[in-house]
Amino acid sequence: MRQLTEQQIVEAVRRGRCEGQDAMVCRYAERVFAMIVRQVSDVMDAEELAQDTFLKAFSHIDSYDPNKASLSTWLCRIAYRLTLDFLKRRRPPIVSIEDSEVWQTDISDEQLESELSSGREERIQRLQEIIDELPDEERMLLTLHYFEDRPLTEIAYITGIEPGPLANRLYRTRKKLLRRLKIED
Amino acid sequence: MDKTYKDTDLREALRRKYADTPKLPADFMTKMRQQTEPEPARKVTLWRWVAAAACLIIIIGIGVTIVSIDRMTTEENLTAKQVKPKPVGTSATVYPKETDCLPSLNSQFTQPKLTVQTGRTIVQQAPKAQKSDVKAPAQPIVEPVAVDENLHYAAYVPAEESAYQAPSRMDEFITKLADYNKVKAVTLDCIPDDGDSTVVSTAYVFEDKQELDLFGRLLQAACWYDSKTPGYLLTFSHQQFFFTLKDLRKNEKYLWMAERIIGGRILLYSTHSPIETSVSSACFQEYREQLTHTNMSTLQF
Repeated sequence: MRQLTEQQIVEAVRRGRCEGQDAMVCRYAERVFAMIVRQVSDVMDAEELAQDTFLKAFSHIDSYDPNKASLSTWLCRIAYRLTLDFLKRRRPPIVSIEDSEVWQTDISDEQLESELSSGREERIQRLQEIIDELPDEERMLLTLHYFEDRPLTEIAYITGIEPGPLANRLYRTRKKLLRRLKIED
Repeated sequence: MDKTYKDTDLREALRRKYADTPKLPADFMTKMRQQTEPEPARKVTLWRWVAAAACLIIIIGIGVTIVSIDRMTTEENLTAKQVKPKPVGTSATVYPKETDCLPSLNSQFTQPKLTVQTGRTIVQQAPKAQKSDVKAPAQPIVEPVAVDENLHYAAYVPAEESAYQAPSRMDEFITKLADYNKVKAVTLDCIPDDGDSTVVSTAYVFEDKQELDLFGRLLQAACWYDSKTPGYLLTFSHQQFFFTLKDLRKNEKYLWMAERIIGGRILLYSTHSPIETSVSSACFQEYREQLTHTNMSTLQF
């Protein structure tokens, strides 16, 4: 079968043609599903959200602007919002003490990087637990940045948060992780 | 802005956390197709409902029209004026059923004579049953105030209870329509092989005008007849109209065919013959070919 280009896929979906929809699902379903299932523990829920993502993409294909992001990133943006909405419906928002307190300790990016790169096994294991306790948006931010290796500008497009505030949020989250680690140390 | 941090502990924690991420289910594509396919089905269903609603509205519209025509007929009869008797022949005359049926009724009823004009039915002569032998005094002919020769013939109301409608009424209607539109009737020689000269075939060439709406009028006329009428067969499209009937009282069969032909015209063909006579459409086809050929050859390129 002839491999459609991204532009051809978009055009075919715009025209409501099945081969365009099939090609889009075929090419991006794995990535979209993986992104969702990392946040939603239940596979069935994740599958439904992935389906909703594509259905929404088909019906809103006219709003896709290839100059702003790739098709894959645009799909992740839809998936991100659907997942976040789903999680908000499913569980009450987590508000940790650190969220309401201002952690006065000033720490530079470099110090933070060094602290979070200790290589200590117990820290890694503890970090796994702490990540689970984070609010959804923060956990997704870390996943997108550290696990999926997406640059902040791309994450800004996916999350709809301006790059500046997003960088601040990432900094605060890292600081929060370090504080939790320090408390337990 | 796009600065990346090493944060190896964090990366490792995330890598371990997501190491066992479930894979995309194999039937995901199938499920997606199922999600997208019902859409047109729903649309079809919706269109079915819209079509059904439209049909219902049309049926109601036709009903309302018929009722209003009836009402107008009644009102017009009330405002009819008396005039001197007119010579017979200016309007179609319709006689109810033949005497071979229901003789007892015929003995009781005088035969009413109906004149159809401007979509209204006017009883010319005292129509109803007269059980006594006393003859009613001669009634003057009643005629509506407004006279429009272009008939709304469908307003005909039979004077008898029987559902019988003479198929010849269709021919009468076509004759009147042709007269009004100054269309000549061309008699075709369609004598079958057995030499039966009782076959009567006539062709008309009407202009395909919206004002005339010949197909619509023919359909309207066809609606006079119950679909259970012997020999009843009605098919039509935008291009063609085909209608057959049998008159068991007169032992005759009738056929009407209309077709849109080149040059913005409609060729209407009418034939009736004894039921047992086989009628070929060859002469009609010949006439049609002759007509279209003539038309083609006279086209100026």
